[in-house]
Amino acid sequence: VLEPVLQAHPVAPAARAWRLQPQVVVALLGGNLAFGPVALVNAHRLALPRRRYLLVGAIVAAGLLGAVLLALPSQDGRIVGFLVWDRPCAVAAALATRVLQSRYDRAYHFYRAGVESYSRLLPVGAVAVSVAVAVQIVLGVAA
Amino acid sequence: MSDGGALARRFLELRRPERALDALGESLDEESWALRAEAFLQLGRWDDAVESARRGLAEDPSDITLLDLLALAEAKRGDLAAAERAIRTALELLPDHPLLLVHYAHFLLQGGEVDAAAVVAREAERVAPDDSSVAGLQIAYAYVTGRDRDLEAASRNLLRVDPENEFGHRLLGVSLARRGNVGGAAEHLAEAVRQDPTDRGHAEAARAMRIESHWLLKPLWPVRRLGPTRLWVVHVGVIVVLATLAHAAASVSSTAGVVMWVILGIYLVAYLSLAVFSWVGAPLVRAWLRRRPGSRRRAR
Repeated sequence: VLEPVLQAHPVAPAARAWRLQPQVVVALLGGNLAFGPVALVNAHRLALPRRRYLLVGAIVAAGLLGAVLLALPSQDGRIVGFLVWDRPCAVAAALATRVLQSRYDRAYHFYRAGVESYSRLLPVGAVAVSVAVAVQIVLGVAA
Repeated sequence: MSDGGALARRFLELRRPERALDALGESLDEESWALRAEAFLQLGRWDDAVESARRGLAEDPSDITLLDLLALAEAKRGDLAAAERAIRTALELLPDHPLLLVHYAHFLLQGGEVDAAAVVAREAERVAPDDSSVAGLQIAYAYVTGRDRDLEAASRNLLRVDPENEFGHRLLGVSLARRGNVGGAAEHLAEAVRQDPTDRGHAEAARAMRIESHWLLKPLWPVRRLGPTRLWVVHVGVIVVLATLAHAAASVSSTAGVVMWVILGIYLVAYLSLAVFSWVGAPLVRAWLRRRPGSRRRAR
């Protein structure tokens, strides 16, 4: 019918994925430091093809880089500038990765998950946000 | 077919895989491996299903049924590359087999390869236009590509071809729920449960929809109808329009301006009330309805 197209697809891990929408909340509350690891782990759990996984990684990196670059001209100091821009950049990255992964998420839901079969993001998200906020407080005090 | 094999097949038709495995006993012929693989698939024991299919294929590498079962089991355990290899081997032997084409299209969709899936789906439609598995494939395609209107049409098409198809009822229920029609959704999900009371997914979906169709959750209708993103866009649009009108009215007469600002205030209060209800009130109502005695039993 056509050439093989699934040969580069990774084997899906047994761990269940998280829903994409709550990841935006993690980005909003914890910024890039909280959102980045969550997004990358989830992309792995959704078994994204390698190229798409790298794109998610690039967007996560771009979110962090964007916050750093926007902080450079800050008159209050670069760390304060970073803390100001971190969350908006993380939310933008979360929305972009959501668009990038939505098809794979729907396929996951249709074929692998079904009703109430996503993993709960709340415990992991709470830890990620707590760690990120702790790091940001330390950075803020240092500034 | 041996007596054990015939009995096992009957049990598999009745979705009693444990009894099917008992009926097969220690039988080691080629057909028993296929039945065993099918039983393990029904039990959700993907690794055992793969192993059984491979044992059977060791005796006859060109057995279409075993290749198909191997592909299904590999896809279920998440190895789409292995699933594709197995199904393509089967398709090389029988290129126009509609079920093989449908399964291949499903693997492609599972991997998010929607364009390739569309090519294979067209081929399946050409070979068997009125096959219920092809109609089921259209549902999967609409779901994965996020086309809700197509999902409803595909579900109705599947029910036209096979009126008792449980997945047709379930997916039509899901698509109606997405359009805000929770009453219609609850009916179709209940029908899916009636068709297959053993399916936990149907029962959970029906139960969730029964809860969503409760009158206490009726205020969520705008959220269901439009979705959170569209509702937010509508909300911002209404505020901008009302604020602009209020400014314009205030320049004409102070009374008209006050009236417009009051209308804007009422709208804001209504919207904030809906937001608070959807964030706080609705989860509490759902939790209460879930804990009510007998709610799980009634869903079945």
